[in-house]
Amino acid sequence: MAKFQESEVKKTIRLLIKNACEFLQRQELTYLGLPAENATDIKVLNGLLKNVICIDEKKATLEETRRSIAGMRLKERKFIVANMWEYLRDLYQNESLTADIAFLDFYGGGIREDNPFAYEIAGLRNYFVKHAHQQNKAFVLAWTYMPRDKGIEPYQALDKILSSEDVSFLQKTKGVQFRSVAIRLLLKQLIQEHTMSVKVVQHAVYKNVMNTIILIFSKGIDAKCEVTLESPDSLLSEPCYVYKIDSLIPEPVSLFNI
Amino acid sequence: MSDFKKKSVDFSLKDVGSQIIDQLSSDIYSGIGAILRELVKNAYDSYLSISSDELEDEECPRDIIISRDRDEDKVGRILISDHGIGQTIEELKSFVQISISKKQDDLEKATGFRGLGSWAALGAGSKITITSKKKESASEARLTLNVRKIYEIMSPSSTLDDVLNNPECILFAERETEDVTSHGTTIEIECDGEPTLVNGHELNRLYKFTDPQETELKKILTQTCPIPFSSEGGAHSKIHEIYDETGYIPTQIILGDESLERRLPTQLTEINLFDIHLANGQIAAKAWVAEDPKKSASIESYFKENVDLLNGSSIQLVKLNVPIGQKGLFSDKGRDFLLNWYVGEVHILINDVLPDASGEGLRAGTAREVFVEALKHFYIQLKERAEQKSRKLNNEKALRTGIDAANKLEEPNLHETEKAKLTLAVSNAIKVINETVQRGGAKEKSESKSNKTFNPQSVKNLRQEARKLFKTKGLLDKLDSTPKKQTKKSNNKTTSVKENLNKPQRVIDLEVFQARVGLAVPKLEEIGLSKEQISQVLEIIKEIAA
Repeated sequence: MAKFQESEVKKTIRLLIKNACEFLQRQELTYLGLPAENATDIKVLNGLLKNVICIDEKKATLEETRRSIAGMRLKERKFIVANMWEYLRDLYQNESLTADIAFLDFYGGGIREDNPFAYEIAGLRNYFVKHAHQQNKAFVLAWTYMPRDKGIEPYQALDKILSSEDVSFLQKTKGVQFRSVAIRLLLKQLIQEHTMSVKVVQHAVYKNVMNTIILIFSKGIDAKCEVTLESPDSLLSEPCYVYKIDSLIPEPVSLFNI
Repeated sequence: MSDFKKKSVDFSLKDVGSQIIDQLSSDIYSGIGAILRELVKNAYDSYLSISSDELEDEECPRDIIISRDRDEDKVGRILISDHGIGQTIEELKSFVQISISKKQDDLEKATGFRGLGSWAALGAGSKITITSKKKESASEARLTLNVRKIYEIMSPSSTLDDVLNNPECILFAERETEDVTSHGTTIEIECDGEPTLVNGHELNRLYKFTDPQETELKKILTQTCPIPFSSEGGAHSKIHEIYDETGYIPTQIILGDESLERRLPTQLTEINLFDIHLANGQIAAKAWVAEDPKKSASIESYFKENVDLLNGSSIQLVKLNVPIGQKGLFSDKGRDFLLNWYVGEVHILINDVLPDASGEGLRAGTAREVFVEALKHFYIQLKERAEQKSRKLNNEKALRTGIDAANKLEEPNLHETEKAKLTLAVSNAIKVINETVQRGGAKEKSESKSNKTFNPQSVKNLRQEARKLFKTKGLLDKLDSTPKKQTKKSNNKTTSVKENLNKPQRVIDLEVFQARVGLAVPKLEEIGLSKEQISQVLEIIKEIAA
């Protein structure tokens, strides 16, 4: 969320993420994300964080990120030049820290040209494997994406991991809905695999096509967490909140009507 | 022959050799601690132009954050960041000016005053980047010093112009920012590898400290930087009183996520404040000194390196809370060990007394000489206090031992040796009772604001208790070898002892006498006599008794 102009919605998204972190009811959190040069995503969490893992494909960006957060009290600061999905797939499991808040902010889309969605699957799979080792502890996952793609074909990788019922369900959707449904189904599958429970804090839709889904999940029951988590199936029934410029309130809309 | 006519000759940077940079950076700031101190002091000074109320309104902490990391390519960085007033691009120029400092004139209570800016940190890394955003400015300024390039260029034939006006060496940049409210400066020292020489000049000197797991940096910071004391109450509040009086504003120094704060060990329950005066009566410094009222020995063992951040016992000279040199600086070496019975600080008040460039001493001059004399006098008084304390504690011990001994003497079937030992203890206690200590004399230049250290009332009470007990048991008359006084009891005046010729003679068994002398030997050691001296004393006793 750096090169793109700040809007009230983006500020709201950040505050929603901060609220989600506060629901965890614990301090000294570890952040994982793509904070970009200004690191506003990190700064908004000032006071809650102890460690940060900053990922970016450009070294120069990370150098600016480092300077942007130099004035924050943090114990560990890691700056890793990598693609986020590749990092999650290949490196995150060996990371000594576990991210209490992971913000996958692909404001520019985040869709790879080569083998799209297979990377998301691989990255998220390993992400959830690592978190599944922590019993009775809730985590926040936020994902900003743009459903800017060209149809069903790139999602064929999902065929291999979703149930046939879910696959056929997905194939009935189209357009802007499609990616959001695919992501919800993917998350449902991965959370189910690890017998975790989940709650969508908010799924925001803004600027017509931008999406940010913020959820809290846990394997077992985190007694401190203020939010009651539900079964993975609940992911499909949670509405999206559509933020329009000329509207007073964000409008709740079914996932299948966005 | 015609007369000389005036001609103007202009000098420029091309007339100054670039080697001067090396002299400025390496000759003066040779230590890592000195480099860090200068950078931290700059950060501290940046807060002086913003009031505490303003910072509070902005919910902006008054702190200096030091962070470090190493990336996968082994490039290490140390960043020193503050939320102070910040600098514009024009003001960043001051970082590379030489010997021009606006600080001391513009800023009251500035800790930096040499105008050597970022040259101090030159050899610290391979690249130094200073990013600053001035309060209410819409742009962010940046200065980058490519140290490696500077050193590559520096040679006997190159000039300052080759360096200062070379964008490959020194680059100024600016960018617009939407965030108008934030302000502060970050100095980033990048080390692209281990320390190395470039053209004979060393760079990357701080590389070792860029490892976040490295532990020595904390110690260096506590030795060289203005680490504040904890603001928790109790004894610490007295130290904060001195902060108020000297104009130092407590500013948190944070390493990673840890606030560095000094704390007094809990055993040091006695803390006193002092004014140190010059010969003309002017107050030159304010000091606080803490001690364990129950101990007359070094308190070095009370300190734990990473806990109290006090670097051990003794007295530290500071200016605006910045340590100057080693502890006990300017103390004459005689009985120096007595300073280790204390921990404390001397906060210089006089404006003219300044640290030298290295931070290890004071700048030469008359002000320095006069101040050092006053400081030495203060040290001497501390040492005398230590000796008085030792006497007081010894007296207390003798009285308590005597009281215990007097009670035990009534037990039946005591062995002769044991009886002799107890009798000796009572005798010693009686000597203390009879002793009056005369102190005072020359006018003291250092005054204690709260002179409760020795608490003579406790000794008086013990004395009274012992006297009463000994009298009741008839021991006072029996064992008191001091001639009876002719006058009434006086207040703290030494009374001369007159021989009492009517005192009955006492006969004592030789074996008992020998036992008593033997028992006295450890006492002689305790008061500091060497084995040789003890032998000599025993010889004298032998002669007397013969």
